[in-house]
Amino acid sequence: MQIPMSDDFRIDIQLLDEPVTYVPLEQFPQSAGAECVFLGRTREEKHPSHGRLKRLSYECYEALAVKTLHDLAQQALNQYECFFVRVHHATGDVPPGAASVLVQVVCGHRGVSFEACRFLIDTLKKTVPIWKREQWEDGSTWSQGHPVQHDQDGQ
Amino acid sequence: MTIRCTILLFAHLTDAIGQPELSIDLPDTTTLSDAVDTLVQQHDAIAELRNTLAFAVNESYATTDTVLHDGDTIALIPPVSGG
Repeated sequence: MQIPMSDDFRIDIQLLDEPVTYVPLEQFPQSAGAECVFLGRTREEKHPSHGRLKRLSYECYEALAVKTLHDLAQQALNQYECFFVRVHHATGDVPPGAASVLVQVVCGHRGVSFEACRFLIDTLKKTVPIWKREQWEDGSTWSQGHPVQHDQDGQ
Repeated sequence: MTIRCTILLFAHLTDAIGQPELSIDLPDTTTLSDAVDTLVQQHDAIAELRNTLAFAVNESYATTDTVLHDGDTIALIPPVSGG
């Protein structure tokens, strides 16, 4: 794919109602020397009381999740001089082995591409309104999660 | 004079309260902080999570000094667990 200069075309944010997969870029800017990809997958786990994990089920506050992800991608473009940022996140069910989140960045050099990718996944986990329910063989539990530290005066 | 706001609930808050939305009537010139205090008095589940909640008003994260208006939508954001 061509990568135009407008920021609107340098960011791809999507919430999908199925597990996510890697999306190859067909063409890169000539000065882009690094593409860094992170895929977060559901692990096999066993709960001491509820048995084996059947799947993770994600729900989100879609409007705010998309807006927050766009803001993060814009920060990555500015701070790490990325040429392109893609974040896809699953909503609904993700069984063990399947991926719930894709973070993909294209940068000039590998160092900043690793940093940008890590910034995006770490900040996503702390700020984007998405919730994960662990569906076990016998029952379900909500993942503990991270309080969003937005409202400093209210905490 | 009162205003009416919609409250959006998510994850374990939806489970605890049994529905994804509430509606509350509040005095005019109410802040988000006042609205949360009212909800805490009405719902034990919200009181238990109060210190871990973030808030959004009309699809943007908001500070508790935000002044509310009739028709506003307030989201109670429990700890997030995406990724």
